[in-house]
Amino acid sequence: MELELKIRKGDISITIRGSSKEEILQKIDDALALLEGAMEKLKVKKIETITIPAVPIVEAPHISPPPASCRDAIVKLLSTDWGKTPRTLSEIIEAMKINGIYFEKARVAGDLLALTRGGITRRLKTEAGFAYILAQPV
Amino acid sequence: MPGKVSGDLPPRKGDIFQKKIVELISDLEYRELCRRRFGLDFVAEPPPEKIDMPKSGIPDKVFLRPLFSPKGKTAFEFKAGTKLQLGKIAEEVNERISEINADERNPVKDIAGGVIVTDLKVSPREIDRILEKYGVYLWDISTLCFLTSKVFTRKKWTKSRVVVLEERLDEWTTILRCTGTYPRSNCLKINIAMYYQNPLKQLELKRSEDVLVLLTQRIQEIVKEITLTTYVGLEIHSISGSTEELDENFHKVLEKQNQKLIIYVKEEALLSCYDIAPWHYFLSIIKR
Repeated sequence: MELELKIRKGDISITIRGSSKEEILQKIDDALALLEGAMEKLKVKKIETITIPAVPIVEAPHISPPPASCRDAIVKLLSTDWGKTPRTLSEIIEAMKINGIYFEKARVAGDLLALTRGGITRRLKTEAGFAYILAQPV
Repeated sequence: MPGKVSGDLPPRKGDIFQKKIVELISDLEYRELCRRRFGLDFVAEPPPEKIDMPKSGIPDKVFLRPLFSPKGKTAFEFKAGTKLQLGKIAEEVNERISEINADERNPVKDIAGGVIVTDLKVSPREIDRILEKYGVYLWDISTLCFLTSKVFTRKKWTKSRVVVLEERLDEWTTILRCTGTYPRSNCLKINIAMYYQNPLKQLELKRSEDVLVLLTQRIQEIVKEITLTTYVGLEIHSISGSTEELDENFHKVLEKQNQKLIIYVKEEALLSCYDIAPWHYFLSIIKR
């Protein structure tokens, strides 16, 4: 029968395996020495800690009453707090889906272009690609 | 003659006049081709007849060609002072244009027409006579103030996220428009400066009604299918003044244009004329 003993010290653990209790007891001293050695080595090395910033959770925009058209939906979505950040075509389509509004990608792209040409939205180049935002108050 | 006759002013003052007019012409987006060469004060390519909005939503040009000007390469003659023989000046301008256009090797050939620019007030009848007889346009002090107000409005409206653009509405009318949004109030705002550019005929009630119908249709096209209310801030600029009938009924005419979702803001409505007291628009802006 195979026996196994796991010893943990701090963040390090070591496992001793043997076929009998006696064999495992014999190996304990060597295992503890190995564990101490490893602990010493790790103390010398500087451990770098990385702080991962919390991912901001942007609430999906909710628009009501239901928009009358694709253009209406776009303007209403971009009028919410969510729309204060420039949004890409994909993000706008996704936000529409959340609101149960379904338009083809080409239709949304065409209406975004028309709104931009009309001066209602502005198209900005961002790292994620072209993004849209409402024009500023005048 | 270049360098000497910016009218009958002393040379230094003539130079200053010339410099300031060139600044205005450049702000109107004319592209300079030459200055004080070939017997002409200034030759420039006018801005386009139509501006196509690119996908980016930021057009290269904002202004269209002023409607009272030659369609094409334009020769300008600057004349300041009091004793101007406009007919003689127009003849000279035409002669120089003919000489330049006849010279195959001249780099500015193919000039479409000339404009005399003066700091005087010239009657519409005289402006019409110069155009009819010589084919030369005349920009007097009213025209200069009118065109300056276009540049002024453009600068006033320009912000980082706003597009300002001039569009043609009819034969004599253009609009400078900029659109903005007020997300918190859930409304759109469109500012419109309408320019009636015929220096020979006053803006009448009927004509203003007709152009306002066209303007409302244009706004409907821009905001179509959007269910937010659109507020329109409208300024009408008439180079040649307005009739008494229009002055009295201006607000009524505007009210008639109001629709369910398109509302002309009464408090912002302005009718500004440049035939009498052409500086008054700037005063009215300060007093607002």
